[in-house]
Amino acid sequence: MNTFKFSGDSRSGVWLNDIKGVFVVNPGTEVDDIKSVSGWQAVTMPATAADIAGTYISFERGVEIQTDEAEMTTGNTGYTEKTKDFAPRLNGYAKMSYQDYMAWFAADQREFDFYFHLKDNKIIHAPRTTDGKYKGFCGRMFLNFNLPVPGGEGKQQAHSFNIMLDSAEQFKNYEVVSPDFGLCEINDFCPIGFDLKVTTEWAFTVTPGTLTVKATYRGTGEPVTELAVGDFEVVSAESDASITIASIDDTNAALGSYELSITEELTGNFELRAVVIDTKVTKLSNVITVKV
Amino acid sequence: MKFGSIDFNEKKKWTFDEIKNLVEVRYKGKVKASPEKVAKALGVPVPEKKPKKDE
Repeated sequence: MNTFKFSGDSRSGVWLNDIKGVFVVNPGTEVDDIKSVSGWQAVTMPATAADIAGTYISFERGVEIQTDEAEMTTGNTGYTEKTKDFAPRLNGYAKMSYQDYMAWFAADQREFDFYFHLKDNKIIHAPRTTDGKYKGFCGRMFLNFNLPVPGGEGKQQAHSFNIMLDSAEQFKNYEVVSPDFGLCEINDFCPIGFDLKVTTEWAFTVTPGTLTVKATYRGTGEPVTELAVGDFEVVSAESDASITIASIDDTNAALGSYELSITEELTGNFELRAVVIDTKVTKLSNVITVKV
Repeated sequence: MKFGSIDFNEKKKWTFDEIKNLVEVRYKGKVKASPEKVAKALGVPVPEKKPKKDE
């Protein structure tokens, strides 16, 4: 409801600060608390990998607002008025490694809810639900697929996230909140990312079939040495039969190399990732496709 | 559950033969425990050994 009433003057011209980053969550996710580290960790670093519902993307490399101007129509009687509002759009240039950006490729064209985090640490969000839970603005996200740019501004804009919100109406009632955590505590919300890579392809001549993967931290390339068999998770499979990693041989774990065994003969490709949980999800890998 | 350098998945529905194959063939020398010990730790029943028939 938007009843207009005269509402006074603050005697100040302060603007909202620039966008620093965005919290991206699964569509429709209601967050209990966006003002505390623990409130966000319940979404971004929960106790089980299946409950991960979002993360934070830093847009320190810049943001371009691309919202279309409202449509003003002049009829043939000469009367001009606004006939359409457009939902906000922006291009955010993420401060992340190319490996992080590649892990986002599968998110291209997907729908998410967005909370915008500003440089003075405020958070802008959609109107709360009737029971006080927080909601993000619903919208879509697009990524770019391009060769490495040689230098200059184009290079800084290489990891771009084109965010288009769905509804100008939802934005008309946006709310601003000041969280309890500091600007530099944002890093506490994101699990550390590492890369999994198949180094020896799946082979099943005698049971068990095996494949070897390498786990290295993104950005530094250092090996991830502490993975256990329970940390590996089959995310999806082409076949209908369930796939279980039977055992891992971590003789070469010091190099980040793990040999995985599966006792069943497989009939289709599957996708694999690894998650390290220490009361909450602390390290997350990308999702890799294992060709069978 | 780890034996030597091999970490067995406790959530898998193991058969004793699968464990025996991994311990005695595939990962020979790496498990440092008998198939029976691994099976018992994973909650997999160990088949009884058939006694040798006296002729």
